[in-house]
Amino acid sequence: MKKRMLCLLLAVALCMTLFSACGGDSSSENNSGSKAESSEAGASESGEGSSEASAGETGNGVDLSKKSHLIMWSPGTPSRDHNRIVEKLSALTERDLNASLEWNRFQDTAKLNLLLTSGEPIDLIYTANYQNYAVYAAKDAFRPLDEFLPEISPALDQYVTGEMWDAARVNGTIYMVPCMWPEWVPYGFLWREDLRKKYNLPEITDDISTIEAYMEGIKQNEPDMQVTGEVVSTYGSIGSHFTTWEFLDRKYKWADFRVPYGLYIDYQDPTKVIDWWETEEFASDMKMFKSWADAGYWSRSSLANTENKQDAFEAGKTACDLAFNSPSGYANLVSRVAASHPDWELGWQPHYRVKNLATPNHATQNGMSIPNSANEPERGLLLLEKLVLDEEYFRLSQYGEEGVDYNVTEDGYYEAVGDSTTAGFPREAGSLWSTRNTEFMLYPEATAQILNELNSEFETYTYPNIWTGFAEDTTPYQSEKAALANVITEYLPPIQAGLVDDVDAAIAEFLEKAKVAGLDKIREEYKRQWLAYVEEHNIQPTTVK
Amino acid sequence: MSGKTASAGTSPQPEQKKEKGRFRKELKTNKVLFIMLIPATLYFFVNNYLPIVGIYFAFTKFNFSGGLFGSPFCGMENFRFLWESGKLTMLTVNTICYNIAFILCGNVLQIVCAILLSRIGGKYFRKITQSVMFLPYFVSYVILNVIVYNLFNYDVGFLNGVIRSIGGAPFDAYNTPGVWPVLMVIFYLWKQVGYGTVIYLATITSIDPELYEAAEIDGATVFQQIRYITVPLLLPTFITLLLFSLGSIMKGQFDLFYQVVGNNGVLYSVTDIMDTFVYRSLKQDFDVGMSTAAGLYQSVFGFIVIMVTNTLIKRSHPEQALF
Amino acid sequence: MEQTVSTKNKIRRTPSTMAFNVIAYSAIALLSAICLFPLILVVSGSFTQNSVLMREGYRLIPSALSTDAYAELFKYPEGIIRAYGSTILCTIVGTALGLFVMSMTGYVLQRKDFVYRNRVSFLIYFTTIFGGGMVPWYILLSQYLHLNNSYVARVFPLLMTPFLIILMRTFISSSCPAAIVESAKIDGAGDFRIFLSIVLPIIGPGLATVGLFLALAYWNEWYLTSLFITDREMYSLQYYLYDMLNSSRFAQEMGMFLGDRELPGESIKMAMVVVVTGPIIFLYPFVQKYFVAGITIGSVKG
Repeated sequence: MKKRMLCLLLAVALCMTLFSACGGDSSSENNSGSKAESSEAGASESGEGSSEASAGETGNGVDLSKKSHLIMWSPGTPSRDHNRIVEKLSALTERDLNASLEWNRFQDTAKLNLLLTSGEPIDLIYTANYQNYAVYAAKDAFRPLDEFLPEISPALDQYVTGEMWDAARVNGTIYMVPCMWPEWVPYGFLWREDLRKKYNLPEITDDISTIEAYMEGIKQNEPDMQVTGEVVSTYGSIGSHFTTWEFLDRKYKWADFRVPYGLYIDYQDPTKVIDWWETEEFASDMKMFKSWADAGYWSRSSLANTENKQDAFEAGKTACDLAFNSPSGYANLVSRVAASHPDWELGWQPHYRVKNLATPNHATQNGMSIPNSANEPERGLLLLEKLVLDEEYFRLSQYGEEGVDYNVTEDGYYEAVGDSTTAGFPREAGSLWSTRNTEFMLYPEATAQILNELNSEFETYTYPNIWTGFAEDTTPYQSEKAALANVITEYLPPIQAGLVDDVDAAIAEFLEKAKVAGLDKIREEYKRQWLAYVEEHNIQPTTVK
Repeated sequence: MSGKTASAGTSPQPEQKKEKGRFRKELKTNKVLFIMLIPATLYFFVNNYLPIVGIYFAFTKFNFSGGLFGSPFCGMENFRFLWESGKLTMLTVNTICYNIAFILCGNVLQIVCAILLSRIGGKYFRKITQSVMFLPYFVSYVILNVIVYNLFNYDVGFLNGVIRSIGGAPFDAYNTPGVWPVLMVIFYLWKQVGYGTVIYLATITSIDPELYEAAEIDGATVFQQIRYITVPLLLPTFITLLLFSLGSIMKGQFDLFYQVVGNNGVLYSVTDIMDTFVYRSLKQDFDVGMSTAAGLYQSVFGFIVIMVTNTLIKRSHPEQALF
Repeated sequence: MEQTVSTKNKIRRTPSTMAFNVIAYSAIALLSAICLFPLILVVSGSFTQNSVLMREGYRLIPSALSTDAYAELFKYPEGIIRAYGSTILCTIVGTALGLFVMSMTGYVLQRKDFVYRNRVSFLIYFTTIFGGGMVPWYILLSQYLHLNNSYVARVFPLLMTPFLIILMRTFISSSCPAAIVESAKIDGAGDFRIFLSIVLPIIGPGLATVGLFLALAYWNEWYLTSLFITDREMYSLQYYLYDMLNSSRFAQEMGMFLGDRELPGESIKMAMVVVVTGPIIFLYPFVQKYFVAGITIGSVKG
């Protein structure tokens, strides 16, 4: 009876396979179908369809006569009044593109992966290098835009300049429309200036000993406070890291501190790639962190702490942050603190300033792509054009409804209606960072001043970003990378947090385990790909003053 | 089962001709029963059996335009990351040991609670404590993590606060892997005790009171009554629950471990289980092939365990065995 | 429970009984205290001022009493109210439907004259061991069945559980003698009619127990919402809470800076937990009495 059962089960499974295979085939048929459609649309002559006010701007031959539905995804959690804004936006798209709009959010990369893997119909989606843009692009998740963009939207094509456009290439083809807004997002040392003055601690300069003095001063004088609340993070690294790692960006003139697999790419000579984890500098940096951990600057339980660093700082629990992210972050923090703790004074020292080398965000830091599963790729692209280039769309999607969510002051600054607890759609609540447009952007007054100051400073020592556009192809070492990620997560953060007894022994053990997981193979392949990239894009050695 | 095949629309295998005749007869006499089975058939077919096809993902190098059947076949390649990290043994041991500890300790504690509760006279005491013990079931592990961190962290943790006030040296829980297996079991028990107790309590109240009365008359003490009447009658329940839990022996309490241990690598050697390991490995390059491969490993393992256990149970309690 | 009371009167107060009572009361009291302790911390945390909470951690009694967290939570209560509404809806519909189909299935499976009952039971049980994984299941439900953003997606997957079906089956077989069924058949009643008019009324306690577990599954559901629901107004209660709790962690991991958004503070998160879990605490004692009246859990093989 058992045997018969097994046979029957197999038979059932077999027919289900056939059943689903049919389903699988039809979806790939749909893909080729829509591709044929778009080339047809491109080939047809005049712009037909219902009259739209912007008929001249929409590009050629996109048929807008049939009412349809657009689906857009961006990261984050929807704010309280998200639905209201989507409704308003949908009214606009119905007017101009004859399509209603659905705007959904994804909370993490797992959800993003599920969306793309399941082939869900999505017409426009946020992509970024830190969200595996290169990996998905290499695996054909997105529609190629090389010819599609100029054909459907010449306006957008004009807007995206050559350099940024080229930087989004993966294996020679472009799969995303990059964000054109220039941004410098260094980490930096954040401290309480009022406390520094109170205890007569030395001014914070490029010299790291001033930072040590500050931390020691806080430790002595404020026993109830924790000096700094460094935690474990997974952003931007293979596996996880301890946030002290981000502090090291001030010290080295490397292509980027996020270069993975323990490699160091020299900014001044991009063909030079060093195995950094094995070096003396790395060991001495880790020993420095150990001395700080031993001095008690961060909790011994930091590895398990899931508290948000900024929350802790704002609540007055910590006195500094070794790696606080970005000028706009700092500007926002200043305005928040002005409201909640008027007696505080803050200081922020961006790492770029210390090493006199600023690199702007790479083009692929924020972008929009059109997945191959899109039902309406043409209108999706037109929607993107509107979001970036049409002020009405821009204002609505980024800031909400004027008068309800925000106001524009006489000087052209952004002013929120109500405060952060009453706001139903705060500024940039839609997380549409990839449609930012310098021309239309509005800043709150306080933020604007700080941002302008910092940005003009960075301008004086900025150099082109050579690394973040590098599209790493992980397929040759996918398994090793997964294995290595686990090794890194287990062994590296304790070392970076200085919570090990013997730094050299810990590093040796870590490297041993990493090599078992395949570190050497990965490094070799990565270096090969990187050098090929350097040659292809003709990246020259730069002297940093 | 043949009902299922009928709805899937296959023609019966040649060797089933005798079955087929019998099936037709059965269909005629019990037509309504078959119809009444349709919802279940539909449900399990759609929700469980149809997706089983997806196991094929484990053997492909997934490509978005190829989808499930268009992606190139790659054999056992997707399983490599499991043993390449050198951790497969540790993970298997950890997962199994934790599950066994959870199952045994959990069930034992629930049985004990149920027995004690069934015998307590005070009505309000019983009601209140039972409700209280059920509460943790509603609290998600995310909250538990917040509480645990606040209890055990080195500087301002509740535990260390108490220790310091009596003059002792603070205990660095998060850097001491040794205590965590015990702690994890405690957390699991905390969450599940109320839920399981209900099941056993329900079974106990169905035991014929005359049995207890007869034992009374014969002079049996409370302890003896429990040992010779209550526990043996709870055994079938325990075995059934055991069999249901064993199938998932390689799947873990992902929520519990992911929330409480999180990214604290120091504790991984003793608290890392298959699910968390796979999740972390694939967090960046979420590859459906590799995650399905891991899931398949877990399922196959669980299947083998069930088969073995079933054979063992057949010897002592044949009516409780699966087949 | 009446049984225990009557036996109690007959129990002589022997030393062993007294010893047992001491053990029983103290053990249960201790366990209850352990279960309660973390929850007290949560409630106390929700009544503490946020900045104090972050600095000092959780205490049994709030060191700086404040109801700010609740005030803020209820400033815009629509979200919570809607989540409550949608969860109650799904729970009631799902439990009613699930109970009906599961008891029907259980009834068929316990009929000794149904030849294939053991094979069907095994096939049902088999689904607990083997599965295709989350992705194919998600693809099936969202792409082929188009269940995205619908209540069906929140109700359907939880509708039947192998464990509860087996439970139901055993209960029916132990409380429904074959003789009754036979005599009804002789009178000419169809199987379905027998099920509706004879079986269902008898198995009240069984329905209550299975119903409780089913309702709990629906009430605590958040995973289905995270996968299929994008409309904020259809969030389940637990997911609403989960969303709020994870927004900070999410912010940190995505590496982006939320800037003007107010990330929920610790005390608000705790207040949220209380609001989501609280009402159940008051409901449970009332439901308790319905189902402890005797069910037996049998084996997979009938």
